[in-house]
Amino acid sequence: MKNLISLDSLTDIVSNSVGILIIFAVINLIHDNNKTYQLEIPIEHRTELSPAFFIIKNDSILAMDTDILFSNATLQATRGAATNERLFALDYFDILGKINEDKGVSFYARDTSKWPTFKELGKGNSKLTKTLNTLDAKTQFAFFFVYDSNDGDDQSTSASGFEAFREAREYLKTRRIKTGWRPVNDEAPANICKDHFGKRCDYLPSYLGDVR
Amino acid sequence: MSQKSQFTQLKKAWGLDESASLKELLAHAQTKSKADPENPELSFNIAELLRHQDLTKEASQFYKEAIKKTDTKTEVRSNKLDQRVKKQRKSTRSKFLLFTFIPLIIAAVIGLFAWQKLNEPEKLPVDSDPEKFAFTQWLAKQQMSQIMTTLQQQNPELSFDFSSSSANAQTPMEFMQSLMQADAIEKMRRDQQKANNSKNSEGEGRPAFQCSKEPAVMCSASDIPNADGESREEVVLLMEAYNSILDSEKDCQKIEQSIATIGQQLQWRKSERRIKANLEDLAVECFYRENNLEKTIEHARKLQCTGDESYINSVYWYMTAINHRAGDKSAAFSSYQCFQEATNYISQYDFSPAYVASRHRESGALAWLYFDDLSTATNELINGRKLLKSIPEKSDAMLQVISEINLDLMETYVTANIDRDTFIELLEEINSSGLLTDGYKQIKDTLAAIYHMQNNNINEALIPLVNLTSRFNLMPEFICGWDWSGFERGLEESIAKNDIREQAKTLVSAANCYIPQTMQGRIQKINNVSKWLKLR
Repeated sequence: MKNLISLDSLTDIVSNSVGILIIFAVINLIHDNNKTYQLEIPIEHRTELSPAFFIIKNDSILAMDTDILFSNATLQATRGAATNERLFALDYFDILGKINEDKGVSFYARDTSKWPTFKELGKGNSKLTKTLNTLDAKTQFAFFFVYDSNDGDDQSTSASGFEAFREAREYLKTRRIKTGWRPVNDEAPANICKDHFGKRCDYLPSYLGDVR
Repeated sequence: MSQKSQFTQLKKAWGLDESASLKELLAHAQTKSKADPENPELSFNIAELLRHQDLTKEASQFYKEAIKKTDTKTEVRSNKLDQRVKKQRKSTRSKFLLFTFIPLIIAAVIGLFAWQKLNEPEKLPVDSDPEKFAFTQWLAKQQMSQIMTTLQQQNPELSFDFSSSSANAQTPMEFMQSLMQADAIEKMRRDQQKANNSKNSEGEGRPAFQCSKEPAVMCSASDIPNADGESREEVVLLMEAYNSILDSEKDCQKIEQSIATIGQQLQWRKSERRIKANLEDLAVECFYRENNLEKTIEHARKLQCTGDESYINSVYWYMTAINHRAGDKSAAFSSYQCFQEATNYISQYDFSPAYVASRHRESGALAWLYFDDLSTATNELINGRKLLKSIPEKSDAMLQVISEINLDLMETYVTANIDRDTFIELLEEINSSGLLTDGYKQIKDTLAAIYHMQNNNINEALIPLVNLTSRFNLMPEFICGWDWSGFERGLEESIAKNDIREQAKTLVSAANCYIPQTMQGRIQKINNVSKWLKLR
């Protein structure tokens, strides 16, 4: 037993420069294995900025053109297509709409194959980058409806839209644009309603855009 | 049957001669029995033959054997019958199940198909020109062609050319409009206004509001939601959602354009006038913020034309403010008088106490901001407060209004430098309500600091100043809706000492959310005031 636990050899290892390097290497290895994301603390707050809405699903990001969406929804409503909480086409990237009292207008995202992926972020000629670059930090903030599950598409990096959201958030942060978000899924999709319905109709920024 | 005849029969059946003896018959029967050992009839015949030969014991054995074999056969038959019955029963049950469930399955399949069809997303038509889907447009065209036919029949000398080759090609609708002179259009507007007002009276059980200080507003047909039919729930929800987007974007031109486009698409119904009023109110507020006198007045009138009485005060609030800004004090005062008349009107009818109290609050704000009338302002605020305090069970909306009125009242108290006890009592109530947003808490602390400063309560003034800086430090955005202009004017008289007045003005400038400045800039101003106070 005495031979097994020898203080001399331990002293050798610690005092030896190679030994110290080994210890550092082991510590670094342990540190790498426990790699964690540095989380920014979200501060959700009232704002005078107007939200620009986006849906993120399967690593793809779609800017919601509310003018087109509401214009088409109005057209459908006048035709009676939106009665009794029926789903109706919005003729916008395969999105379906539904109107009900609890959620206002809901937007059901389906096929995302034609949406730009977050990998296009930062590329000068990409449509997504151009869209995000049009946001004005003084008057707007970006609000993301993030799907927390995908359609089983193996091509996506993660099992949700969160990776894309984090990338988009970081990109916008460099442009000093605030971001807010809400998790959505097929049962509780993206929705826009009047704020008097309460918390669920609040679209607030939670991540500050100012680079300190 | 006798034994003899029996044996004769047996002999015949077995093909033996009639002269055959019993022994021969027995031997033959035994031979047959060996060939067919399970046959009970053979055993019985052997037993009978033995009995007739007086071999009783042997006969008895064969009788028993015959009985045993019969039992076995009977059992076999029974089993077979049982199996047959079971098989038949199974077949019947299958048929029963099949015929019972087939209709149900068919019904389920049909139901599923119908459900799928019903829930199939409505496709957006390829041609999305809204006019193509507006039934009223179609109806108008039909009516127009009928009018034209009648006109031609009664006036054969008239000729119409609507062809595109004509130099002045006009649609029937445009032609009819061109036929109508200004007087005719005016008359039509008046009739529509009258009809609108009478419909209001019928619907709500109260007369339409008309301010005594101005003539009845003239409305164009497109500004009056008067189509028949019940309110379309999905349209209301859709417009409310879109309203919130327009509200956040604050793009006045877009709001104006949207009102026109949506109106054309939806053909406003009378029952949906609240939505139209919401949109017009948004436009009024937006153009007021832009300081656009003409557009503010135009949309305020359009808001009136909706006939929604919940917005009368809003109309006159903006009219008072915008006219005052434009320097037309007389028009501003007339609008303010209309505001007061409107407040009296809503007080008489079934509007909620919180709503009425809010209007008193606004009336007080207008009196103070634009007419320097501190007395009317204070009285209006006290009236609103009394109204709500007199109600035993207060709703959240009421408590919210009370907190806002209290804050307004606090401004008038500071301006009037009211006695300490009254001020402290009000401050305590505000502090304990817990209903103020962070933005309004900044207003409250600024007012409290100024009140204590003007009364030389340095230590007490420093406390709200510390609150102000710590709150500004934590605020991501400073949002409030507070017009300091009346208070700033009042400072000239309410604070006699120049140095204190200057410091108060610095505080007001730090707490003015409409002055664009950084949080650090605001904090710096407050710290400067604190330093100045500490040096006194």
